Amino acid sequence: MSSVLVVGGGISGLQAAAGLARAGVGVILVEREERPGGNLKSLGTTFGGGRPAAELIQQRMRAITASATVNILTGTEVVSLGGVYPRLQASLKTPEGTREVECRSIILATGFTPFNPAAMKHYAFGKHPDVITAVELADKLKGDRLRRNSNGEEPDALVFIQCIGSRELRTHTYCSAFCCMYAVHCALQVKERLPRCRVEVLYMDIRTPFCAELEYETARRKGIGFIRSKPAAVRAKRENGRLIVQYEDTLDGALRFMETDMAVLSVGAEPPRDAAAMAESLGIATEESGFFACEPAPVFTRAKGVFVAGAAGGPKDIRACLAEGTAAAAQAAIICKE
Amino acid sequence: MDLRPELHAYYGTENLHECYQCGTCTGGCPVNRCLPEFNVRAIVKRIMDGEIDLADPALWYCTTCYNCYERCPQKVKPLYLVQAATNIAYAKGLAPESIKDMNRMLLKCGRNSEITSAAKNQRQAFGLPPLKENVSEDYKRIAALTGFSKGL
Repeated sequence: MSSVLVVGGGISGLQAAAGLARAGVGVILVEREERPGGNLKSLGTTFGGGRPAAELIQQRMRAITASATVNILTGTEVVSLGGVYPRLQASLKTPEGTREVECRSIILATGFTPFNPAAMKHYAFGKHPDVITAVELADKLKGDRLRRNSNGEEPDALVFIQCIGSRELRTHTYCSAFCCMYAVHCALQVKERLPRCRVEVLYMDIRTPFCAELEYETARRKGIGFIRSKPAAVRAKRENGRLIVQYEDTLDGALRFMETDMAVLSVGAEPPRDAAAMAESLGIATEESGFFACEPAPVFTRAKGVFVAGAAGGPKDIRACLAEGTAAAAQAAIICKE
Repeated sequence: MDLRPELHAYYGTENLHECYQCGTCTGGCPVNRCLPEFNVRAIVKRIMDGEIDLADPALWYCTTCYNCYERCPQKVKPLYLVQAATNIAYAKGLAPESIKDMNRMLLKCGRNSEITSAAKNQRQAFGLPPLKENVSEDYKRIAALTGFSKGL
């Protein structure tokens, strides 16, 4: 019998598993996809220092694979969870078949799903190929050259639109917390690659707390434009296929039409898709937002032996995910020694 | 003027405090494109601050196209706030003279414009009866009961 089941092989789950490996605790780490890494897989470098996301994943993977106590199951889905401490249960669907697991502790590290802006027709998402999500931009920035989807050319102008699927009664009311920081980080990267490209950020409030404020300051110094507005519409310009962003600059009250090549939707975080079902089967609560409820925060839940780490408990930056991964590992290790 | 105490009767669901002044409303407003003095976001702000000028003729420029209503991320219903402001302004007799003139005409003949001789001739050519020059007593009673005449 393994002592701890870690659900999710994103950065939080990897951090938790690596911590448990160091403590010599037996772990099964379940990851739905073929490769671990979760949302970090789509990122090049990360904000707040610019460390490569791949490096963050690899460091933890090295610790895990070097350990004899961690068993990673990729391509594996959790079919059901249940039981109570000290006999928590899980039914797993592995590529080899169904597998029943019993454990003393479960760490829910299911992460978040990036918001899908398909319903935002007024931003021409899905209609114009140069309107993309920040996830797609991050993926483009991993490559050598940043090009427009429409014609394969480098953009002369690019705009970020903030708070897509965040801070809206229409979609999700909470602030996803990391979008401002990744947008500033990506804006700087675009500027570095293409110094002549005009880069602008349409924001409502820039939220770059603590050291991230320095990156925001750098961005302003390097000529990235910050305009306080949530645009009303993005549409194609018929004559040249570029984009027109229609917005009110709320600081001077003027209606403006910005011509640009690419519009990047800074999408926020959505709860993991099966959070509600998982929570119910384990007897823990979810927040109104749909994320797992930590009681008391961080990492603890109503059910003994069940912990939550990272963005599964609400949107977080990588640093907070790492802290929670470690915290959950420590708590699970204590549980296993009881 | 501070409309907030009176707002509920006109505006219904109180979402006013949800506005974070993002400008989505004004950015998509067809009136603002031609008449920048009509700025929905600024009107909402002034109502939130309790400083709306009810005599401002720009309050009456809204075409009720519902763009702001549809797009507002916070479901503030800016259009309904503008309507609430015009309703309260009207009740206090603060509507612009042009609006009042139109409504006086309505009270007089049931139409918002004069019956032109061209219209009279056309009706005659079509074999239609002439339009009534005066409105019924019922109409006047309704206008009095709803406060329609009071705002003039």
